[in-house]
Amino acid sequence: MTVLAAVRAHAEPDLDTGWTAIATLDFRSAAARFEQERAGESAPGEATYGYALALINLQPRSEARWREAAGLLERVAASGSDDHLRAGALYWLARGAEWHSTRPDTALAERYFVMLLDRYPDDLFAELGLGKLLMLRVGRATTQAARLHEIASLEGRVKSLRSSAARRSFHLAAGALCLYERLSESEALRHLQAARTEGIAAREVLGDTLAQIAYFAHRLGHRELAESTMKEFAEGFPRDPRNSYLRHLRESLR
Amino acid sequence: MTSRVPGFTQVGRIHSPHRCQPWQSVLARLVVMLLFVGSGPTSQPVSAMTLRLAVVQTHPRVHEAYDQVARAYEALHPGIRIVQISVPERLYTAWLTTQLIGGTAPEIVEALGARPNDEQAARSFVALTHEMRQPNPYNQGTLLERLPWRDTFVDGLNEFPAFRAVLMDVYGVSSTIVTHRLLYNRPLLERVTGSPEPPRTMTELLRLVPLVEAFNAEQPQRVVGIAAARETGRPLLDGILTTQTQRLALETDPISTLRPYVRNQIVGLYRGDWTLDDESVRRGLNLVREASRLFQPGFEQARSDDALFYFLQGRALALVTSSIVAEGVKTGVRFPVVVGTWPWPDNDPIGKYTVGPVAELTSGAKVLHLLRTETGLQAQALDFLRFLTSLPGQTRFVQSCELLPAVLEVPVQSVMTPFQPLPGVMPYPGLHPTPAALPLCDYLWNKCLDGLTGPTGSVEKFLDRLKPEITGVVRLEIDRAQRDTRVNAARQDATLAALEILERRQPSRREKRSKFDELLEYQTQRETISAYWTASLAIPPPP
Repeated sequence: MTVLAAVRAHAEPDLDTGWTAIATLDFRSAAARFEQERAGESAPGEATYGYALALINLQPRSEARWREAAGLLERVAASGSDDHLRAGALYWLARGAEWHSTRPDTALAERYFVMLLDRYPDDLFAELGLGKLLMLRVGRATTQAARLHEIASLEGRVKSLRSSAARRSFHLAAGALCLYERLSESEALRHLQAARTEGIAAREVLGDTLAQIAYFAHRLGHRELAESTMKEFAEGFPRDPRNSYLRHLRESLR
Repeated sequence: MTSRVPGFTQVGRIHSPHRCQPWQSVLARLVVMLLFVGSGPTSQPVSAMTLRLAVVQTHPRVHEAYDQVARAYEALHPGIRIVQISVPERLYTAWLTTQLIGGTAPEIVEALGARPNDEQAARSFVALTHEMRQPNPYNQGTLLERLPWRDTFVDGLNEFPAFRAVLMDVYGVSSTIVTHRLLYNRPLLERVTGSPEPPRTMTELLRLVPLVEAFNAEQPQRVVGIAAARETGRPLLDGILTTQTQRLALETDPISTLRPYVRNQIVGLYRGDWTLDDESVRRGLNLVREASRLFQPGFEQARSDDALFYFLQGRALALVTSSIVAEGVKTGVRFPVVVGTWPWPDNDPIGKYTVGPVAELTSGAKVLHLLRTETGLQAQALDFLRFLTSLPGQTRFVQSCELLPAVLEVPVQSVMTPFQPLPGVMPYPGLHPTPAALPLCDYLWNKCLDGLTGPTGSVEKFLDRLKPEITGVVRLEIDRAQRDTRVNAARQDATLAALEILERRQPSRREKRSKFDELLEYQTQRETISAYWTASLAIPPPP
């Protein structure tokens, strides 16, 4: 085993320890682990990337911490690391500009997402960015027609997405936006069905989506869809209190 | 075995047989606190295989029930001993925090209130999501043997604190379902109304108002219709108000997940999707004013003990009580009692805006968490939780103390039948202008309530107080929620980054279940809500 291989074999589990700490929300241990590993990096790489993500959650949270994290992510995005890591850095820079800075800058977030989609169109992070970009663009639009247009124009790219999670995320966002913005119940229903077809992973989100499909299908007169979804909901969520109301709606169909 | 800290029951007593000087009382409390600190679980002679279960001090029956199940478990597993630590409610949160920080926490703890937060919970509690997908081995040979553990619970463990949505994990098991009912003093009810039957509908309940007043006019000692406390009176009044706003709730819900998003509801009020002058809101407030005349004066400030005292003295027709304490109250009174269901609007005009009774499946439960400890007994503690929530374990648990089961197929004892959760029709209550779940709204309601329920109160007076402040309070509540959303977004983003790498490097993690996908979907859902709040509050509210 070469020295480099030995170092790598040693380093990987240590990075995983940092990621595992983050996954259990132990950001202090994660930051300590990644900071230690950064010392061994010849160029900003995974340890720097991990340190930046731990940093945004360290207490007390502050703009200075975000600025430091953003600086590190920019270095990763510009480094010679692998494309996936660079795409990830751009994604988190966009997320940070919108969510982690105490002075949210949605225009900057949008620019990062566009850059991400242009540079790494086939990367998972770019695909996930499409749904996030949708929310930003619909939020910026000033008329109902413009909002519907934004949804339709970005939806054109959904079919080419390789990640099922990204397609699902886009349709869930589009369905919710159609409803919250009072754009179109039938469009919302179409997007919710598309998300369901992709196979929703989170049990709670699946329950909500099925309830919505059943409710709007009933409301829009799609009797068969309403009935089958109500049945699916009852089978999948037998002890959910929404069953009684859905049964009540189902009886009104007969 | 129940380990109680010496003196705790003395402090918790409502009526002390001897009056003591204030300094004696302070000294006694100090001694009790010191005893408590010094005689916690760690200072007891604990064997290597002693599991500790910390529960909030409540009715003795509940502690007896845990003891019964513990003894049965010990019989099955010689070498394991289970000790119950009963901590008074007022001290519980501080006690648990101290134990967690000190690394001396017991293996199993009961949940109380909103603490700990998600970060602490993720660090301190064991996520049970994976185990919940497997059948509970103690259900072997029963009707539940093939069902995943989670599906054997009556409430499906869908609500906080058993399920933490931000973490997308199950962190607890329900040990008993908690519902609330009205317990009536039967002889007094008969004297006042001429019938021993409790009111079944809201119309019948409101008929008690003139009957109680007429009764009081002829009696030297006044009685009240319902003895209520701050924590029981408000849910009853809220329940009455929101019967009238059910249809409005369904009509104004922007996304119709059929789940209650109280913040979306108050944002709807801010936007003018519904108003305080809607006929159904005013009708609901009118009913609240009427029904509150049944309560004792000052109920808004009363504690549960005060309300219970009224009832025990025979000075109240009814008491709002929970399934946990009801049997204790029934055996403690000197008169026959009868349990009445929640009053429900039966017909027009008060049934006009009502869809139907609210489902009670998620009304509440006692929840136990499994803690990460360094005692090496996590597997045994998990096994005990499986036993406690198995069909045989739960049967023993509820039979020994007359509680509602948290597990399917467990027979409900006849005395608990009136407390069984009702399936209802409406999945959640109707709209409330100041939902109790939101602290600033709750404060505003309490501040204005006297304008509605006071002797000279009226709907107009109440609304005159509420209207100038409501939009400001909605803004503050939503600003607060948006700050939480931002903090959660930072946690979730870091977690998503971690899961993306871990699931890519260890595909077996993803094969079992992609937590990455789950968290991403949940985040999308939360962020569309946040975008809705931002857009709604960016526009000035209608005049």
